[in-house]
Amino acid sequence: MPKKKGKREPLTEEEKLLQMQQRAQAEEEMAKKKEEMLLLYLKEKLQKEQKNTAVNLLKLTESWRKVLRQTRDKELLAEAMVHQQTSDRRLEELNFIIQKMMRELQQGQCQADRVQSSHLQHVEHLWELQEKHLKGLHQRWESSLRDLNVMCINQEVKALDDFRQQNLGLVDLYLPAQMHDKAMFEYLQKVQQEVVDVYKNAHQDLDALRTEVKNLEDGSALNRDLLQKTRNSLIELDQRNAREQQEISMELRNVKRLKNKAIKLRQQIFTCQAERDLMQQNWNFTTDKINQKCRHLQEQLARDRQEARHKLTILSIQGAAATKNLQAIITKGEKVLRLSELCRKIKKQQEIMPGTSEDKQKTCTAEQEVLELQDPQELKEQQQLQELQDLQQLKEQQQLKELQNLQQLKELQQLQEQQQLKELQDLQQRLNSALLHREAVRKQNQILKQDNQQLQVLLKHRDDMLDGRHTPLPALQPPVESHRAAGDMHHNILEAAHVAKYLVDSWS
Amino acid sequence: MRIIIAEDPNWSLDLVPSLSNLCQRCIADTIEDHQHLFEKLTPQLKDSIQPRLSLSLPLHVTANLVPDGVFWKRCCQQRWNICDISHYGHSWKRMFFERHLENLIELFVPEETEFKVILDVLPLCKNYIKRLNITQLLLPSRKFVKGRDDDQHEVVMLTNEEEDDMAASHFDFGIVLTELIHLEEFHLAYKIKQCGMNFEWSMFQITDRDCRALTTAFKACKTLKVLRIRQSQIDDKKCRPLLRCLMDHPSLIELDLSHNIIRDAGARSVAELLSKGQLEKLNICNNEIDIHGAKALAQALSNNSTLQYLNLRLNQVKDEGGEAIAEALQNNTTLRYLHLGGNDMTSITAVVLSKVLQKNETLKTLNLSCNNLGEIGGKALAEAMVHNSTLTECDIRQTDIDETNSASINKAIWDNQCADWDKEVQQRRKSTIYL
Repeated sequence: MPKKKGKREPLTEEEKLLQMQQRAQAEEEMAKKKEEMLLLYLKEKLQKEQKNTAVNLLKLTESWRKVLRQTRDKELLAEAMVHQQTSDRRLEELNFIIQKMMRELQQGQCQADRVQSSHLQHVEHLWELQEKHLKGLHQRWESSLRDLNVMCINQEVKALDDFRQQNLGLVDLYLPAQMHDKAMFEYLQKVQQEVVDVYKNAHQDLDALRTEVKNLEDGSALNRDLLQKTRNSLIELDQRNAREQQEISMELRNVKRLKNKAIKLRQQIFTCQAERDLMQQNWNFTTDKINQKCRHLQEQLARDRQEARHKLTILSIQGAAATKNLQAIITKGEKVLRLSELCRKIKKQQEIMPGTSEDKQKTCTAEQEVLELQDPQELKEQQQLQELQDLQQLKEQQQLKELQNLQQLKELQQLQEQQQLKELQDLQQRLNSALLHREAVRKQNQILKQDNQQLQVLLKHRDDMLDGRHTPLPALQPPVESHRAAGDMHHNILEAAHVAKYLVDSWS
Repeated sequence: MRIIIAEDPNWSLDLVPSLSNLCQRCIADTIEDHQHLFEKLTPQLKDSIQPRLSLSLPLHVTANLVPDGVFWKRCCQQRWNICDISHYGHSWKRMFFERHLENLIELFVPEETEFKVILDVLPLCKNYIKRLNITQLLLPSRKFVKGRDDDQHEVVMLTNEEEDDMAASHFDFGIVLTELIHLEEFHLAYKIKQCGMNFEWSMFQITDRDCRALTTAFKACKTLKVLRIRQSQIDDKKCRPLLRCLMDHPSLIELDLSHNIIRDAGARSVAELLSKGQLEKLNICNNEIDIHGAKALAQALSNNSTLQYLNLRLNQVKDEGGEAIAEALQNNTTLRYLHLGGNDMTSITAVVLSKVLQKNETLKTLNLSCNNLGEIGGKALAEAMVHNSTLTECDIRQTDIDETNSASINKAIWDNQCADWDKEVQQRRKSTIYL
């Protein structure tokens, strides 16, 4: 047993350990269980308490509402009463309004009915008036219709009577008309027979005439030949007439051309005359201008001369004053020169005697001052001299300028006069040429007029000749010799005129 | 008294007035004093004096003295602008007196104006008045003062019948109608023209007292032929006594109670009058006659043989009433003019009417306008017109009849018209030939 004991001892230790472990485990389990039990218990308790709280809440709310209801009952009752009263009043008002509307409706209905009835009455009245009017019109229409009817019937009756009377009249007229017809018929037959007889006689006469005509025709062949010859001669004459007419027309055209030229020349003359007039006007105008300019220049010259004289006088006065000054200055200068000479002498003496330099210096300074005094005086004198010289030079220049101006003016005047003379000469030449031209054109016109007259006379004579009149020709004037080439034309025309005259004479 | 020629502008040396002219002038100037002289004059002289008579002469002098002529013409033209004498039988005197009396009655304020005024005039004008057309009847003025503030009370008053009896009445025609022995036409309208701001509904009603007064008046007037009371709010209650008194009236031919509020009971009394009296023309348009009233009228119509003109326009007769009237027409052979416009009738009436029209040969004018007859009605009428040859006017405007049917109806009417005209022309020709 010791093993067992020994074993037990370790076993017991193991057992103890085990037991300890088991106990620990059991304790843990116990603790867990306890915890679980506690949890459950607590949960149940929670649930119960929650239920209780819910129930209590409900109870509380119920009791609270009861209390509220009890307090608010009265207020609600009062409000309900007020609402009921207001609704009653509104109902009453609405009822009143409805009744009023009903009344108004009824009255409106009444009014509408009255209006409708009065309208209907008016319309019926108007209808009656209209029917009355229509009846009146209808009656008038019917009466007028009846009148027309009666009128038509009367007219018809009248027409019938007239017709019958006309019938009777016609019947009365019928018999004599028939008799008349018969007589006329017989008369016409007689006339017809007479006409037939006349016709036959006429035929016989015609046959006799035809035979005579044939005889005459044979004898007329000779006459035809003569007729043809005369016709040929007539044709030739007609051709000649045509040619001469053409020549005359040509001559007339030439005459027209010459007339146009004369007109143009006349126009040129007029224009030259106008130009000449214009040129004369211009010349007059320019001469006036030049005269004015000369006057102006002369006046200017006089003024300038006066001014120059004034200036000269002033200058002379100034020169005199300057000369006086200069003379004064010169005297001063001479004085100064004398002083300087003295000083030089003194210097020389001092140089010889250098002891008294201060006095020399003083004297030098005094000499310098004197020299200085002299210098400005000399400068002044020099300046004044220069001024005098300048003035004199200016004077001379001015005089030269004046002289040059005068010369220029004179030259200008001469040039202008030359130009004007030249222009005048040109104008005069043109005038002369225009005048000569005009005279030549006039002479040409006269010649042309004379030729025209001669031609017209010849034409008249020709015409008279053609018509068959024989009039003596007037004596033709000899052709005028002229310088122009148109003279040849004249010559041709006159030759033609002479030829025509010869022909006319030959025909006559 | 010397009168210089230069002073007297009327003097003319050429035309010295004749003695008779001077006498006429004298008589004209002093006619009041020399009435007997005027009466002795010849009618020609009387006519020549009339232009000179002064228009301000009192009526009692001129009424029986001056005959109908220029004097009365001048009086009428001086007083009224429009004078249409064709309306008054081409008599100026009649026009003057009728209008004068109408004026007096229209301006008569009961309980204020003296009745003597009218009494004085009546004997003067009774010989010349044949028609009285009164368009206004004034009420006593104190009633106006009363009912201005209480609008609601007034409504109550109108419905209250007891108080209505106490209401003052209009002019009493009793004496007037008894005096006017030649009166043939009597037109009344209980309304007031130009009431301005004083408008009240009671101005436009006939009262019970007026009805009673009128009944007595009608009994007294034996020559009345035409009675017309329009736009006076006559209802059943007021209509009955009026019509009862007219039932035995010897001469009433035409009765016009249009534009009132007559209902079935009133229509029944009208029907009674129809059956008992000798009415030729009955106009009850624009009332509120219902089916039963129409049936009563139809019954009276079927037995009646004098009525030629029946106007039932603008009532509420409806189909049943229309049917009744149509069936009454089958037996009636005198009615020429029947107006059933605006009666809420439909095609049923048209069908029944068309059956009647095929056989009827006296009805000349039929007016079914403003009833919703429709296509069926149109067809029936068109078929009827094929067989009818006397109807010369058939007004089917606003009846919703389609165009083909209306065209056929119009064509048939036109044919009947032409046939009528041809007959007239033939008769005229015959008369001219005989002449």
